[in-house]
Amino acid sequence: MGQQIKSPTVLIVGAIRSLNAPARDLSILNDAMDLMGQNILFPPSVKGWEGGRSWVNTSTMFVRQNILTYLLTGKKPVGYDATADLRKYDPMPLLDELTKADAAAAQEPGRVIDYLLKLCLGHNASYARQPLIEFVNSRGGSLTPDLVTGLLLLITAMPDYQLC
Amino acid sequence: MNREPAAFTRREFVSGLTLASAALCAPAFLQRSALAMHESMHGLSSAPGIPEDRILVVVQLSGGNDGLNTVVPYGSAQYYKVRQNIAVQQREALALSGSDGVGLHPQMTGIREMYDSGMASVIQGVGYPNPNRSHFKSMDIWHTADTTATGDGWLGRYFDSECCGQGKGESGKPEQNAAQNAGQDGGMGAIAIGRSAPLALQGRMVKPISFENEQLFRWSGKEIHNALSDPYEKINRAGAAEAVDAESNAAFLMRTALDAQLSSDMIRKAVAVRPSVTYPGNDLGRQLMMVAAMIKAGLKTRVYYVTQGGFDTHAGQGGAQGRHGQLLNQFSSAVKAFYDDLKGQGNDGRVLTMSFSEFGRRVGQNASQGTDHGTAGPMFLFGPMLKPGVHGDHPSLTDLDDGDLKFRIDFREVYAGILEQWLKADSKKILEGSYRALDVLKKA
Repeated sequence: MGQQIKSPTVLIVGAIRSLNAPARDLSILNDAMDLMGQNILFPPSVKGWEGGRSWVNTSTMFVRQNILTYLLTGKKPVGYDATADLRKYDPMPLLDELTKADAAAAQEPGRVIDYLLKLCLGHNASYARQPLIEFVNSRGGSLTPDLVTGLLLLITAMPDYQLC
Repeated sequence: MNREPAAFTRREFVSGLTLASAALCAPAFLQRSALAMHESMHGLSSAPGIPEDRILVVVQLSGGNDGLNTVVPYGSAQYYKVRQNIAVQQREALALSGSDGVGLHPQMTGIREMYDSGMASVIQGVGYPNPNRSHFKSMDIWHTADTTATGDGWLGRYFDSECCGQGKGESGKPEQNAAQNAGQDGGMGAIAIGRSAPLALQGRMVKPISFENEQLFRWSGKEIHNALSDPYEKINRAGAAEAVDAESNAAFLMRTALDAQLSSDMIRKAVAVRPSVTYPGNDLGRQLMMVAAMIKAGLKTRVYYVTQGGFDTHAGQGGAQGRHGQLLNQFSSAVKAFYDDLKGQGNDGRVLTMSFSEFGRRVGQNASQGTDHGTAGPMFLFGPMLKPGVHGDHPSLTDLDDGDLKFRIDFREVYAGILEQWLKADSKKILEGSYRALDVLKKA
């Protein structure tokens, strides 16, 4: 785990399933798949896709980050009509496991961040911990659903999130 | 050639890699390769004989441009016979001095002005053997420079070849670890304006950058709440952490994330600068305006790629007026504004522009006052360094191949000319074949 680079399919389907994100508009997801180099059902040759590092370059890195923004917030990528998809994403059920063990944990930024990092990346990315804690503190420290979504936006935009 | 990129001596590094920025080829151990590129941006000084600051801009006319109504053979009675409703009349065509009975479509006043001042040349009857009439297949053939339409892009191979000395087409196998050690890790490959980078730019080691507009080339999360900006920047600009194995995918991703931020900064800063000339309001004009701005900002990119669509004129294409004329007007006015802008910057002499289309169209018009997919067509080159005028004779309109023009110049001869003379690269290696290099440049 944590060694392979996610294919566009794994990235999108994985995010929807593991974060319980709404699937939203499939045509937008399909366009993003194409931009990320995986026009599903149309591989470049009978061999399929090259995979690995060929998935990621400076352009597709932004597409990868931005499609997660879309899934988590409904904000469409530039080029689509400006109205956001208003189906709201609720990140709080993700914290169930944490609160089941200790109800107070959901109010402690450090523990929530460690838990979300572990959940999304499979490991505790120490280099990201401090900026994330500063972010929560700068917003008053109270872990509202919007703030947790903000944390997830930051975590899914991390380079490590591209690994599986 | 089978050398280990990481073992380059400084001499090899400096002499062998002159055609690409050093950063483009920086080995993995230079983990902050894009930073190096950023810092070297101001040093565009070129040693004598080493054209390290030369730029190629490719303009793709998608859909199959009707060559016969672009460079009009008004001297041919046959032309008027087979194109009764859509021919451009002799009195309307913009005669090209020094040529024999050919003139530009009347909407192409900008290019005609450039032609008259030695800034444009026309290459007649460009094509390839056994022409393919499918848009996709023929476009792939032009992109791969291979009539089987397989393998990497020709400009991708140029980057790979100049950078790392490997990366052959479909059959080739890049050297072990080459990708980790080369441009994919952080260099700036070609820049394409568009949804995705064209096949022509796809190589093994050096990946192109593409974006439709600069707004897409950034993280959209910042627009959700500006408090997200600061932590995002801290995390994505960290580069590869020391504790992470430099050859691992994790380190590769951290470097790519950093490169993405730096490229985004540079590009968005560059295109925010307003040009000193007025561009036409069409899409090609918008794209070339961005390219000129990036050239002005000194981005270390040697190849830019822009596209104009809509040339698939099966019905009602018009003659001197009409839809095809409008497309040519957009093309011509955009290219003219581009070179006016470059001239004002003092960069026109650094930029050679090449236009092509996947095929020309049938000689005769069809029943819908349009033209169907054909074969050979003209290419244009732009820039003050060119051997001006018209290269080659117009293909015969009577000696046809099943109703289609016979090509006179293989498009790979044009590629070879540009690679050898302008980019000073080994065309045999890049094109994977030996083609006569067309004389495209002025004699020094």
